[in-house]
Amino acid sequence: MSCLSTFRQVFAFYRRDLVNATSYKLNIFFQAMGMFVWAFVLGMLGKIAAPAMTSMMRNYGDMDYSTFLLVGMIFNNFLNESLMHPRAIVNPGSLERILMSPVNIPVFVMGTLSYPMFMLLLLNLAIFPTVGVLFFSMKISAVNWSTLAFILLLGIISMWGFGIISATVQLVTKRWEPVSWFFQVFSAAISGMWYDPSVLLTIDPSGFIQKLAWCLPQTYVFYMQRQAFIGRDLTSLLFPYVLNLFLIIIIVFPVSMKLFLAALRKCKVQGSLGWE
Amino acid sequence: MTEYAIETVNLTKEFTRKTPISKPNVGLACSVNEGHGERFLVLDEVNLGVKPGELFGLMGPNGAGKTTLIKILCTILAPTRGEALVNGFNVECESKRVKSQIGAVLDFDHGWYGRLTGRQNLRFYADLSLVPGGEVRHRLNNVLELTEMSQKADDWYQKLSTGERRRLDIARAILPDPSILLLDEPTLGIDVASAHKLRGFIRDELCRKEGKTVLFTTHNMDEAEELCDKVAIIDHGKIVACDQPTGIMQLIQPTAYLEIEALNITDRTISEIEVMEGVTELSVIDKSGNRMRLRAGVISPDVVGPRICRGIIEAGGDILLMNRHLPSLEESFLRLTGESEA
Repeated sequence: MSCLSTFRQVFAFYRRDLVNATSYKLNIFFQAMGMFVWAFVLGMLGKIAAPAMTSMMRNYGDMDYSTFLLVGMIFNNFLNESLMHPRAIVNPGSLERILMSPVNIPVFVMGTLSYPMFMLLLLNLAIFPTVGVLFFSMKISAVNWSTLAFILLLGIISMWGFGIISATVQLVTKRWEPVSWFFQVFSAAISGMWYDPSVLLTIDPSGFIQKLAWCLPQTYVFYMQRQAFIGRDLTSLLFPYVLNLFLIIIIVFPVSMKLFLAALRKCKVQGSLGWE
Repeated sequence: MTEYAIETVNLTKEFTRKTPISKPNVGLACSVNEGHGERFLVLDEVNLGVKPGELFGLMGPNGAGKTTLIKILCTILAPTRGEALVNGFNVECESKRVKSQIGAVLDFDHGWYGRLTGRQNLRFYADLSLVPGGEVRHRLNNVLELTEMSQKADDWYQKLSTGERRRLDIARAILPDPSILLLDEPTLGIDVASAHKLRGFIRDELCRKEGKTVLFTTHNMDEAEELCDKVAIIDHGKIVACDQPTGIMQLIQPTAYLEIEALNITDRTISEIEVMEGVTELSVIDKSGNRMRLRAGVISPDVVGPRICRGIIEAGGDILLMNRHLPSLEESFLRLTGESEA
């Protein structure tokens, strides 16, 4: 299938979701308002907690804690959406019908994610940096934008893999799926959204929790994107982290696709594709 | 290249149910208790062949396996054994090719988005099916016109009636211009006049004019009789009959009814007819003066009919009228599936 055909199919999903979303007139407005308020809360939280974070922030140049949180939240939103949204493809109301059309599974996943990702890109990049720059002295002059974009892409792909595994579990069990729960809970607790993983040594001197944190793709993404935010690039400090994240992607993504296809096959045998 | 557009060879489908059900399911072929659950044979070595351009009807009671067969052909259900081929492509190994050959109408409301209009929904599927870019608008207008949905095309799907939604189902199936259409009860939920038009459209436009192969399931015997080049009756997962509609009717022709109106029939003549070979039942349905109307259930009416007439005439009676009633497709269906006994 040509790139143009793939793009057309992905765009068809995007347009479907855009039309659907814009039919709820105030939805996008309130979504943006919610983000705006949340950005303020994070900024304020950063200001209040900043004195306690001084030593931790030495790893991040002259970045202040408000910026640390705001930048982290932008990526956290992308990672969460990448993790959660693949489950939308196993919607029993449409799965059978989409599978009857000549759409590949990866195109199906990409298409289903295209609109939420676009909206996140639009809202996240408009709201969080604006609030940061205007109200919390966020500095964006040193940002290495290309590295940041590359890391964002890697982060999204790495979480897709786990998102597809989550969709696979849901496809088989129909209800229960612990994968996204695991990643969300662990991400919030140890992956570095709220604090640098080095802080984990203060509660677990053995370093076990910290090692566990570095098994999660989010930890690499959070660390690298903040480094890119203060101007570092791939060829300097970030390279080993990029390699590790690549390794996670190379292992998880093909495995997730194989598992998903196996689950689809199982459902086709059981006749349970359309079951809720 | 196979001579059939759709072909199944010993196609078998079993399902396993983990919780055994307390009473047997009507229509299911058989159930086998196993350690890990209960196995149900839904299709039992089905052999079918639908020729290109043929309008083929699949009839059977609920749970007979009609939808299962259609879903296997649509590639969304895997057969347990046997083969299903669409234009020579195997539904399991060559599903991508199969998908590009078929358009299908399945269950209600699947894959529609309530807050998109009918046109927007169809546009979505046109893009997924890679309908050539320059033709999309023309095709959309065309299928909306053919299904009489042009007026309602810009209403949200969630505001459409059941019948209008069914028409959109059909519009979606024919949108990519497939060579084969699989229609699972396409006229279900559509009013009588629209269903009539739709049948005409399926027969005249899709089959006769455009040469598409259509396999459709129905409970409506008149529909099958009116439309189909060939009909298969499926029951308990097996094809119990497969022929032209008239052929199916002739399968049980030996048990036709003869209605005879005659003068001067005596009780003795009636007794003689009753015991004639080939007569299964006899009743007097009307009598006024010396005129009498009889109804005789007969095996091989071509042989038994003249014998009855001869008996009446030889006993001094006069035949005024004799009608032969062949069973309708519906009666044939009920007999073949054993539903009439129920």
